[in-house]
Amino acid sequence: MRIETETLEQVVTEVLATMTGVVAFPVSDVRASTARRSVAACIHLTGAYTGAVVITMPEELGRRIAASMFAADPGALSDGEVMDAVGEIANMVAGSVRSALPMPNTISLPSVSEGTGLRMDVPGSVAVATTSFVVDGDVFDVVLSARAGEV
Amino acid sequence: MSIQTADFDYVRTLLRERAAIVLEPGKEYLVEARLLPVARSFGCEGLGDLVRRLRFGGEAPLVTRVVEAMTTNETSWFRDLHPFDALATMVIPDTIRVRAGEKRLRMWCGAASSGQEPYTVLMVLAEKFPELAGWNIEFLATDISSEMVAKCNAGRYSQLEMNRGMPTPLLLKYFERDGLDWKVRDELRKRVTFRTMNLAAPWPSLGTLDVVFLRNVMIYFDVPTKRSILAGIRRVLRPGGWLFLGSAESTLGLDDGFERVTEGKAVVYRNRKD
Amino acid sequence: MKALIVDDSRAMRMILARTLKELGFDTVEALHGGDALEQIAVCGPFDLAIVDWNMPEMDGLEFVRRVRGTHCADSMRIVMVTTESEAERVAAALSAGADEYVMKPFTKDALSSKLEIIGLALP
Ligand SMILES: C[S@@+](CC[C@H](N)C(=O)[O-])C[C@H]1O[C@@H](n2cnc3c(N)ncnc32)[C@H](O)[C@@H]1O
Repeated sequence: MRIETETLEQVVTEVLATMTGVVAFPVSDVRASTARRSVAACIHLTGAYTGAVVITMPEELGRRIAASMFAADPGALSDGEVMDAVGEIANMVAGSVRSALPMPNTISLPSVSEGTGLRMDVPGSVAVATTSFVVDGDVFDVVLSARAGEV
Repeated sequence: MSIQTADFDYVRTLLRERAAIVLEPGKEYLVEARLLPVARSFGCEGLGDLVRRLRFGGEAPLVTRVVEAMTTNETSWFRDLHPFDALATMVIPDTIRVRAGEKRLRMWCGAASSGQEPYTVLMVLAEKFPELAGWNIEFLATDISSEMVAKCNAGRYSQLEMNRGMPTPLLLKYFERDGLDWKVRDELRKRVTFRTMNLAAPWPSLGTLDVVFLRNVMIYFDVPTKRSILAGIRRVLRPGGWLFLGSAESTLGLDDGFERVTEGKAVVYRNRKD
Repeated sequence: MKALIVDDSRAMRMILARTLKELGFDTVEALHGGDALEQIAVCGPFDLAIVDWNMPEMDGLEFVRRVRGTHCADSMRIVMVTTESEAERVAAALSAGADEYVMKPFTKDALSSKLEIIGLALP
């Protein structure tokens, strides 16, 4: 199963623009730095397509995105609220992308973690589309993976 | 990067000449936002470079792209809701009475944008008027933008577009999923013909029409252009035929050949019979 | 008018609450279908319920079935707001008794246009 990187780019920019008003530009030559404190959210897909969508972004960017999502002051948001926001974005990205993948498939609830040097692996799966986006100079990554053997 | 006054004036004049669209001073930001991507895709350094190319040479594809990029294509399904109620309760029943003999219905939508309005009209007809089944229905939908006409023909809409005003039962009935998008079913698409047409240039022959939709486009034009378009509509609309305008538009003070008819919460204009 | 927001995601509840307030509703939140049924028993009736599909405990579809099956809030309008967007899924929600369906992501315009369709537009 091939999914065009463009499809993923389109979905991510659309979700962000609609739900948060944040404009994200796809970039091809940089990746999110995990040296900084980061937030990662993962949604599993199971069914005719089995794999995952993982979003990784600097905590500070997650906080800014959450702030525009909730129309709140970035400083006033708890860590939990920031993680919820990133989880919800992952949920909507996975929910949209799945209709371009073999059906039927279902999506899991988001799992979100936060930390420095964060790396979220989905054991037994390989990346099928990796995209990165810039928002005001900060970069975040979105990876769609599939169970090994599926691709 | 901001646009030079002379360049802005050049774009304003071009838009007015090509599409009758009036761009007020102060809309520099709009020109920048919409033309920078065009400049980039034509390999221009910036807006200054783009306008230079328009001035000297002005290749047709570039001019077309600039005009199309400057049009506002904002639209949605069942936009404003009430006009489509009036279509179902008054305009179509009246037309069916008048045309019962020849069983022929002719409609034109003159600013189709991406197609939501003409497809909405077709859904209303299909849902509410099964008796039109044996009729000869001609429906022409036009727009100045060839990009929009291509979108109308493709009949493909994103989930975001489908969310805006589309009643879900109709979504299920008249559309099918196509990857991330939804596609209008052929049974609906084959009932309308899409073409490019500039309202501000001499019109092609439209024959005699029963219903005209010209919604949310005259707001961009100046008074003389509005007058001449309304006069043009009266020439192609049969006496007693109907005209739909946008909610911020009216024939008032522009053309007294139309009668203003209120139906429910909607206003429709009728070509006077005399 | 009173709206019940049923979604397990706190982020989504915050967005929906803000949007509905802007549209003139007072809102109450529930974390899943079971919680929502309790809210209806305690503070009902609501004019509107906005319901997610995938939730722990009781999902949105089951909630709609229960509400429509037990006539506990017959006049309440139900709009599903979810990432589920397969035609069969959408159809299932309508036949269970949902009045309208909004696919995520959505804009405020889209939500208000759907409320208008089911006669819930505020002046
Ligand atoms: C705001 S949209 C209105 C769409 C639809 N009628 C509605 O009410 O939702 C305006 C449309 O008018 C078109 N337009 C602008 N100038 C025009 C002209 N001179 N001739 C024909 N169409 C024009 C634009 O391309 C655009 O698609």
